[in-house]
Amino acid sequence: MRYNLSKKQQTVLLAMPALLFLLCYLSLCFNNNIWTDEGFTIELLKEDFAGIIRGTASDVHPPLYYLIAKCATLVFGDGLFLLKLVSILPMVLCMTVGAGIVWKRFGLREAVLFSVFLGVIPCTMEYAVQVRMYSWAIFFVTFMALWAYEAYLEGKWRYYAGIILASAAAAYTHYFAFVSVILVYGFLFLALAAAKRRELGKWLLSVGASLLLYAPWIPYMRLQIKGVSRNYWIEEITGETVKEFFPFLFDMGIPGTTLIWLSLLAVSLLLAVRMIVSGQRDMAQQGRARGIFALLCLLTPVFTAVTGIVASALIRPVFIVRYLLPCMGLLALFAAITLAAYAGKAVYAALLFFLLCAGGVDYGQSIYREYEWTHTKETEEFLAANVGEHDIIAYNYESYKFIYDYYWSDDQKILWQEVNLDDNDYDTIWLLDTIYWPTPTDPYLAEHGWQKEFMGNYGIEHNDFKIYKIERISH
Amino acid sequence: MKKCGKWPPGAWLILACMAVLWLLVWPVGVIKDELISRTAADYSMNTGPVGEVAAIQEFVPQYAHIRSVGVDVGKMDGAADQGTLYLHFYDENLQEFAKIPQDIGEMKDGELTDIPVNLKLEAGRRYYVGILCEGYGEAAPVVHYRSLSGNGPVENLHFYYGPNVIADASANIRFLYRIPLTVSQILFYDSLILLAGVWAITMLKKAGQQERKE
Repeated sequence: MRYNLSKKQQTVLLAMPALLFLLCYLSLCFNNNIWTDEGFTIELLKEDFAGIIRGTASDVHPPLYYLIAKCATLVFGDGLFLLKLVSILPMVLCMTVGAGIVWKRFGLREAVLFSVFLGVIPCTMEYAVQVRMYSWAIFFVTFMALWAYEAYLEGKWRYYAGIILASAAAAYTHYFAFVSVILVYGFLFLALAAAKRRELGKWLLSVGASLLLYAPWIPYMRLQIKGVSRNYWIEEITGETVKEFFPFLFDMGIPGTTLIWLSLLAVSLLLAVRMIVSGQRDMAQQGRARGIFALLCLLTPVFTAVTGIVASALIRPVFIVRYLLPCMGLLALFAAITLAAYAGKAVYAALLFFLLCAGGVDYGQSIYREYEWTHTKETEEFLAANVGEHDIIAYNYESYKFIYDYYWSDDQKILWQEVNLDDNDYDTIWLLDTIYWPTPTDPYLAEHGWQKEFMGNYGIEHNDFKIYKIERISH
Repeated sequence: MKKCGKWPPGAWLILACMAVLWLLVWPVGVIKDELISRTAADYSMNTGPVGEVAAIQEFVPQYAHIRSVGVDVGKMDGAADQGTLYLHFYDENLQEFAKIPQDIGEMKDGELTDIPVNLKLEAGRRYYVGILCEGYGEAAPVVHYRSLSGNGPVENLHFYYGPNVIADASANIRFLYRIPLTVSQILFYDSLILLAGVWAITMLKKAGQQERKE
C-alpha cells in the first residue's frame, strides 16, 4: 500500500510512537522505588569495573548491562533517575533506529506498527523503566534478528558484522537472550542452507567471531552454571507455571486481556502462514521470505521458552517467564509484519487505535504500579520523621538487604536476627517486619525488657512489611 | 477520487452488532473490573467451631457489587470436612437477605476459599455476614481470624463469635468486588469492537468484490 507522503512526513510519522513512548517512560521515572534485583544492580554499580565483573560472575547473569550502566554513572552521576534512563535508551533505539531498519526493508506501516506493538505489549512498559538488563536484551536480540534478515537477503558483510556484535552483546547481557540469538543463528543457517548455500561461509565466520568475542566470559559462565545447578531460587516448572506465562506477558489487569492478545497473535500466525503460501505462488513480491521471517520471529520466543523448560527439567529450575522479555521485540516484529501486510487502510487505522487504547490501559497500570501501589514515599517519610539519633532500623529478611542498602547506610540499620536485646545501646528499634521471619511476640520481648507497638503497614515496591516500634519497658 | 464501493447488506448487520456491543460495554457495563480487599495480617487465630455457634463479621462494603467472599476455615486435622457451610447475610437491622451454601468438602483447609455470592449491596452501609455450618459430622470447622488494627480489610468492623465480640479481631475474609470500568478501559474494549467490526466489514466487501469478479 502506497501513501503520498514525503520522506520527511514519513519520518515524522515514524518518530511519533517513539516520542509518545519516551514521554510515557519518562513519566514513570519520578519515584524512588526499587525492588531486590534493582537493589542488586545499584549495589554492584558501587564497585569499579573489575569489581562489577567479579560481582556479576558470582551472581547468575552476564556483565554487559552493568558495565553499560557503570559507564553512564561515571559520566552522568549515579542517581536512580539516570539509571532508569539507561534502561529507557534501548527501547527508544528500537523504536527509532530499529523501526528505521523495518521501514527500509518492509515499509512505513510495518515500522510504525512495530514501534507501537513494542510499546504496548503489556509486559514491556514495566521493564523499560527497571534498573535491570531486560530492555538492553530486547534491543540486542531485535537488532540481531533484523540484521540476520538483511544478511540473508543482501549477503553483505556489514550485516554479518552487525549480527556478530549484536549476538555477542545479547549473550553478554542475559543468558536467555543468548539462547534466543543461538536460535536466530540456527534459523539463519537453515535459511541459507535451503536457498543460498554459498553464503554459509559468512555464516560460519560470523558464528566463529561471535564465539571469539564471547570466549573471555565462558569460564565465568561455566562457574555460574555449576553454581546454579547446585542451588537456585526458581521453583519447579509445572503445567500451571506454563499457564501463568501468558498472563505475565499479556495481562492488563482487566478481564479477557490475555485472551485478546493471544487471539491477535493467533490471527498474525494465520496471516504469516497465508503470506508464506501465497508468497510461494508469487515470488517477485518477497512475501514468502517476509512470512517466513515473521514466523521465525514468533518461533524464537517459543523455542526459547521450550529450551528453558527442558533445561529446567534436566538440570534444575532455571527459567521463569521474565526471561522471555528479550524476545519481545521479535514478537512485536512478528505481529507488525503480518498484520500490516494484510490490513487495509481502515483495518490498519482501527488496529492502531486499538493498540493505542491498549497502551493507555497499560500506562494507567504502570502509573498505579510506580506511584500508587507502593508505600515507599510514606515509608521514607515515616522513618525520617521518627528514627532518632540513637535508634536503629531492623529488618528481618536478609535477602532484602540490597533494597535497604539503597535507602539506609549500615550504621542506620541491622538484621533483626543479629540484634542482642540484652546488650545494646539503642533507644528504639524500628522493626521492618516481613512475613519471612516470625514477628517477635510480646512475652518474648517482655522477657528481655522490651515492648512493641504496631505503627502501620508500609513497604518498598514489591517488599511489604509492618513497622513495629520496639522500646524498653519503662519501670 | 476513488469511489467507495456499495456496502454489502451484512455490513449493516455488523454495524448494528457493533453498536449493541458498544452499548453493552458502556453504559450497560457487562464487563467489570475486579478489585480484591483483604487483610494484611499474617498470623491466624481460631474461633470455636461454627456448628452450633456462628462467627459473624460486621462489614461495610466499599463498592456495590460483591462477586465473591473468600473465607478461611480450619478443618480440625480433617475431622471437619463434611456438611455445608452457609454465609448468612444480614442488613443493619439484622434482617437476613441472603443465604449462600458452600460444600465444606470443597473448601481449602487453612486457606481462603472464594465463595461466589454475586450480591448487590449499598456501598458505605453496614452489613453482617454470619458463618455457620449444617450437616457436619464429627466436628464443625473453625473460622480463622486475625488482628484488625492496621491490617484491615477496611470493610471489617467487629468480629463476633456467637454474641461475644472478639477484641481487635477481623475474620480472614477476602472481598472480591466487580467495579465499573474506567474511561480508558471502556475505550480499550470499544476499540477492540471497532477493530473486529471494521475487519469483518472489510472481509465482507472483499468477498463481495471477489464474487462479482467471478
